[in-house]
Order: sequence, then structure tokens, then C-alpha cells
Amino acid sequence: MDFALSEEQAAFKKSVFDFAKKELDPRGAGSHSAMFEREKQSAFFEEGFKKCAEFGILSLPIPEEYGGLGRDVIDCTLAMQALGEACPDSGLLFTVSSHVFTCEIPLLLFGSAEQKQRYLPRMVTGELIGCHAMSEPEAGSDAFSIRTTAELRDGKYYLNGSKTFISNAPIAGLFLVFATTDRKKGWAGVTGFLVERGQKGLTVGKPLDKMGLKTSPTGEVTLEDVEVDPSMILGRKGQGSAIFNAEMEWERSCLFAIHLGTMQRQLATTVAYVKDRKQFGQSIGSFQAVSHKIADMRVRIELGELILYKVAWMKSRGMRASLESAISKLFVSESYVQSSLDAVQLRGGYGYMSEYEVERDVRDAIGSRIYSGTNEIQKNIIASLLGL
Amino acid sequence: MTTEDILKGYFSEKSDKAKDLGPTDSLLEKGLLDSMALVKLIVFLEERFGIVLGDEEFDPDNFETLDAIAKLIEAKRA
Repeated sequence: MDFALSEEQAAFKKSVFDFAKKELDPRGAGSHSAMFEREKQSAFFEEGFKKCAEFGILSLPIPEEYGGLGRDVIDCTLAMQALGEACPDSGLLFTVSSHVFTCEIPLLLFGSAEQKQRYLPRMVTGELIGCHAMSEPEAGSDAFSIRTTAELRDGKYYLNGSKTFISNAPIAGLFLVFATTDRKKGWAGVTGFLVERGQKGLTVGKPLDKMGLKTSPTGEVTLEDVEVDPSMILGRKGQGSAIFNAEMEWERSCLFAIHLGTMQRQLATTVAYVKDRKQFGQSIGSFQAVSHKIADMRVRIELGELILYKVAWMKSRGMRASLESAISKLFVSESYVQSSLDAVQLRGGYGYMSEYEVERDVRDAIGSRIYSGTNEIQKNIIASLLGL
Repeated sequence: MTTEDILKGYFSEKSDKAKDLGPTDSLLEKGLLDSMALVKLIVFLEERFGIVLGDEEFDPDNFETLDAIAKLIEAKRA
């Protein structure tokens, strides 16, 4: 057993941190970060996305033959953690994660040689942004009960249905759309289709206004008789659930590593604050009511890192991590919410004010309990794998 | 005990619906294999038979019947 990162892994993680600190955290007007201003306008940080592409973030797990870096899941986890720690724009990082782990990864794992060659080289450069269209108004946690249909007529599939809460939809050029070819079959009838923006019948709604992650565009997608050639099926007919499960394990490692990084940033700034802030003639950090909260924040980071690294380690060895990734998702997201609340509470009234840029973390964190499978579903998975 | 016997025992333990399950009966049509049950089954198969199933093997055809699952296991062990 070895808990240490190798020298190469540590150096790689630091290089990502240094990049993000330099390029993804620009100052805005006055004392605010540029992020503060972007969030007010729910504006996507397009330049930051391009910088991520230039540095290689969008190509991390993609093999060199498609223009990628060919990094393994451990390196991806470390990179995402470093991004979360250095970059305050959680919306940008959410967009990056959706692009890489819920669109590039399914293409890499299940795509035909032609599909990979056609899309991955443009996705790693950021020229083509991907999105993952699964959720529907009537199909959230019960993901495989989707109503979007794929009907085969005269050798072509025709997609009809509505998708909602689709991350990146307003800016995406490629849509991985899940549809059912036979609703009676449930999960076994779900198939993934690749659909390009501009195809007749595909409509993207206006960006949805959200509680947090405001700089990550989210939208609705409507499909009305969208004609798709069978060659645009991702994997095989009926393999939609396999695609979905595989990418979720990646997302539950890498997206939540971003949140772990954010928690590390929160801890550092909060420790500095409680040392500096004086009440009753002394630093508030000297009061146990404060220092115990700080200790709790540190404990969450330590345990979150252990389970995240374990999942990455298992996946890098080809081991199934259904149980561990559910535990990881559940633990890290709950920790993220609680640590964000603690960071606000320890700053008192200042924490509650938007301009101090801590309350944003709370709003961003709440979503982590919901996406990638709600925490209630993660508990179902954990209990189920215990034979219940 | 054959692979099919082990599989039948697994499903029988989970549900009464598997009592008269034949080797070519559809597990989906009998309501024995929803998406959550599939995840559990995969974990069971990997532990019980010492195999590792790749993402591409999560194909509905491989899990349609006891016969199909048994063939998948035998192919992985070959």
C-alpha cells in the first residue's frame, strides 16, 4: 500500500495548478475577481475554455492519435482537483467536465473508429463542444424511463422528444442524445445517438437560470423528427445504459475531484480569515467554536481525497468501482455543501454578502447533491450492493 | 453445479418470479433485471466467477436470458 503520489504525478498536478492560477483566475474591476462579474451576467468564460484546450485539459484522457495527452484516470483526477483549487469559476470547470467526461469519454470508449476520428480531434481543441442529453422532464433519477424515441423508418432513425437540464446545450456543437428504441425494454432499449447542431428538427432552448454554476450554460433540447443515420449510433443499439454507467463512473471521479479542490481553496482562505479576524480582543480562530469547524473542513478534505483517489486507482487498474464511486460521490458532495456553509458561517455577515465571494460556493455546491445521480440514488446503489 | 444452476439460484434468491425460470426465458420480460438489478448482477458475476467484464460487454443481448449470461461467462473464462 502506498498513499504517496509519484514525483511525476505531483509535478503534473502542480503544473495544472500553476496554469489555472495564472490563466483562469483573472482579476476584474476593483477588488472583485472577473469571475464575480461574469456570474452576475451568467456569462460563460469562453476565453478560459480556450485556455483549457490550449493547455491540454480537454484532451487529458484522449489518446495521442486523436490529438490527446493519453493521461490515465488518476492523472485526470489530480488535474481536476488542481483546477478546482486554483480556479474560482466552478461553472467553467463544470462545463469542462461535462465536455470531457460525459461526451469525449463515451466517444472514446464506445465510438467507432470513424466517429472518433471525426469528432475527437476537434473536441480536444475546443473547436467542438460536446453535451450529454439524457435527462427529461419525466425522467430524472429514473434515467432509463426516458420517453425520447428513436424510430427506424426506411433505414434511418427518427428522434422525437424533449431533454432538459442539459449542461453545455446552449454552446454545444455535438449532442450525445439518449433515446429508446423500445420503451417496454427499459434500460435495454436505450441507445445513444450522435447528433450535430444544425440538424433539422434539433432545437436548443434559451439558457436556463440556475441557483448556482451560473457560468455554465444549461438548456433544453427538443427533437422533432431528427433524422439520424444508423452509423451515428454510439456503440450498438441498446447499449445506452452501458455508455451511461461507464461515463458516470468517470464523472464521479473527476468532476468531484474539482469539488475537492474547491474545498481546499475554501479551507486555505477560511484559515487565513479566522486568523486575521479579531473579536473579543483575539483572533476568532482561537475560539473552539471556530477552530472545530476548521478541523471538520480539514477532515472532510482528507477523507474525500482518500476515497476519490481510491476510485481513480481502481479504475486505472480496470477494476469495477460501482460501490466506491457511489460512496465517493455521496461523501464528497455532502462535504462540499457542508464546508461551503461553514466557510460562510465563519465569516458571519461578510460571508453572507455576495461581494466576498463565499456564498457563491454554497449555491454551486448544492447542485453536486443532485447531478451525476442524486445522493438518494447513491444510497440506493450502496444499499443494493450490500444485498438489500 | 452448472453455471446456469448458479445463475438460477441467484435470481431465485432475489425474487419469486424466478421460480420457473427457464434457460431461454427473457429476464427483462419477467421483470427480473431492471437497471439496478443489472449493476448487482455484474458485481455478483465478477466476484463469483472471477471474471472482469468490460464496458462493451454491458450489452442487453448478453443479459437477455440465463443461457446468454452463461455463454458470456464461459467466453470470459475460456
